[in-house]
Amino acid sequence: MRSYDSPIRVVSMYPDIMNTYSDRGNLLAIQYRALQLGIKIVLEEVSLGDPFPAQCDLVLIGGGQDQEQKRIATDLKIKTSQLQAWAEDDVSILAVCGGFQLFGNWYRDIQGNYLEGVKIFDMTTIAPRIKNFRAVGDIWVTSRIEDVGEVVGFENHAGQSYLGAKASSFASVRYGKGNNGIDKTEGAIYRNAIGTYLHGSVLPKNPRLLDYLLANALSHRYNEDLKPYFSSHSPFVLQAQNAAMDVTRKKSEKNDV
Amino acid sequence: MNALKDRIALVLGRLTGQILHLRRKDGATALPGLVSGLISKNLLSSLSKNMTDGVVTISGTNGKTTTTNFLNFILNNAGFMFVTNTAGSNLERGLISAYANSVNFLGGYPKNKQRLGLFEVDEAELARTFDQLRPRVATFLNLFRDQLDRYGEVDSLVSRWQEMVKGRSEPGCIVINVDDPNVCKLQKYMSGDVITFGIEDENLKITELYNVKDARFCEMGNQLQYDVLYMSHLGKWRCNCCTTARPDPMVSAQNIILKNDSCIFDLVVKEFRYKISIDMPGLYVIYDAIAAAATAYALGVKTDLIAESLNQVKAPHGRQEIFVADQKEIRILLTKNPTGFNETIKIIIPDSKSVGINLLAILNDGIQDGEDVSWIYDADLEMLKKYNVDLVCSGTRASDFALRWHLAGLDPRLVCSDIEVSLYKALDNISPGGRLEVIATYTAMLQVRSILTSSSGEVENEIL
Repeated sequence: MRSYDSPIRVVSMYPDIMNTYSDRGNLLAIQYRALQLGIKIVLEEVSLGDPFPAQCDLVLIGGGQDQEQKRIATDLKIKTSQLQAWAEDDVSILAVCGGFQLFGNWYRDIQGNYLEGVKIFDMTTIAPRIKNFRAVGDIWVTSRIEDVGEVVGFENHAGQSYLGAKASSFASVRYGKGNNGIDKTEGAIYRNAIGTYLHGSVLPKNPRLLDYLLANALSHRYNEDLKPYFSSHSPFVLQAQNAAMDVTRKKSEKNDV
Repeated sequence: MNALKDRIALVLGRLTGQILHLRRKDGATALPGLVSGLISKNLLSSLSKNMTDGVVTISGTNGKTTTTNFLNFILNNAGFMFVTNTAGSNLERGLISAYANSVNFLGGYPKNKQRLGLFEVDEAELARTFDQLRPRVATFLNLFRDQLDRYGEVDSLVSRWQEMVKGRSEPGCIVINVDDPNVCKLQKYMSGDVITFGIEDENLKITELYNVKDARFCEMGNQLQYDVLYMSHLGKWRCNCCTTARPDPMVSAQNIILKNDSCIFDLVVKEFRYKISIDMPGLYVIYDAIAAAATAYALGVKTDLIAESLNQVKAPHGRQEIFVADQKEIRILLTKNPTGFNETIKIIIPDSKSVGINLLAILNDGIQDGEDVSWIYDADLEMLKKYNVDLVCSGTRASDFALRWHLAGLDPRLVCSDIEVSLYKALDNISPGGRLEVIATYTAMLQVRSILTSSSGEVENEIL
């Protein structure tokens, strides 16, 4: 096993606020896998009013309630240019649910408030006020990223997201609603940034997605293409993913009858 | 005419209940109400009006059943005649069932009985049934993230509760937990009486490594500060930007001692102080006890009697209930959200690291459990890391649970979705006199109870 002496810098954004859908699980999974692969991690928690660290290889942001999204949207404006620069520089990024919505162009919440986004993803999100939309349930998607493959989780969102011409989707929906319940797309990709509605938490039981994010972070740190997919995964991890897929398929088939 | 219709509805509901009871079927807590409710539309409203002593509601994320159960003891001792939904069926049909099961065969109330309705009400259902129940006293315990797929986010429940009490003549009185900033806010919207309760103990501090708060901001949008934090976002909070701060509670618990199987505290109501000892462990039991005390106080019960009754309480179904099988104890701990989970873990942690823990952890994803199981990542399972745990994972999401424990550094010995098999396998490793702790979500708790109560002869139900 190659040793990685220089640690990867992980920035966890608003962990005290954007944590509604167990987003902490993603960080736990990263720490767990990094330990397994012999990768050192330096974790920086960045919340309201906090400055970014000088270096960053991996950015995490989770979901929050409308009130919380409003609170951070103002703070995000100050952080937008740095985040955009990191995205252009191929920093590994995972934005989940509310964080994903705010990494798009803009988000209109159910009260009709417009929140400006970070614009990493060419995407707009609207929580419809008249015809209520709510995507709640287990979801199974197939990623357009070959190394990532099948991804399973839980979605719970009132916003419908639509991708613009410059964005591509992260995955196509097998079971569940996805971005808007209409076009079968799920999430978005821009360079090494991934946005998705999946929590569950998504990283612990989707090891290939976890490895993909870590590989990108590592490649960014060492400035070379590194894919440390050499260590096998614990049976607990694989079993959790298989079982979750099973549950999702069965529930979905039951609902279709 | 309507009265006659109500009566017929109740008689049929009662009959349904009796048939279910004779056939020993489950569901006697909901189906009678469903039947009655179908026949008469405004039944809940007219039934509630019949309660000459009024209706009392208990609502919140955690502690509804235990608080209602504690109140049961107090109100019984105080001589109240009341209808209650003790079995925890807390949706509209459960409330009507409680009424239907209490009438005589002609649909009337026996003379001089059942003058008061005491109901635990689901926190989301409360706003829907509030107009019909028109409570005389409404008690609000807390709001935590819980089953986000079903209840939605905490903020939306908070605003529904505010709308509900805003500018009304009923309830005559609200009883609120001031340690929860979201619940405390309700007093601003209330024109009637307010009774407050909370914990006053500077020595109690949160011990989790990780903790989630579901109330973070004052109404001006600034972050709340805490002088002491008891659990989740419950504590002595204040805001630096505006003048909002937690008021001193009228009913409080002080000098708290938490033991493995019990809790001891001073119940303080105005100038009165009583020593209370309850044979159930956990900080939330104390919250439930002072909530019950404050509610009884709002109903005019003497403080002496409240204290005396609290010293007699016992655990309700599936809430720290203890069964005995083959000389082994099985303790069932209902757990359905991160805050409840953290408090449960504190209960099962032994006094010494050398003492082992036998744990059956069951995660179901039914509608009543919450279909979204990701909340397990918000619970601080890591608190158990340094202990010697014999762990079995079970339920419809056994594998999700097993992975969560694995990440916390605790690998299960067995992962099996079948609850009955898991229960016996978990018991296998315990010697006589030992105890199995069962942490279970709602439907899992019911399944375990039913397994333990149906294998009669071997198991005696011994509620502590």
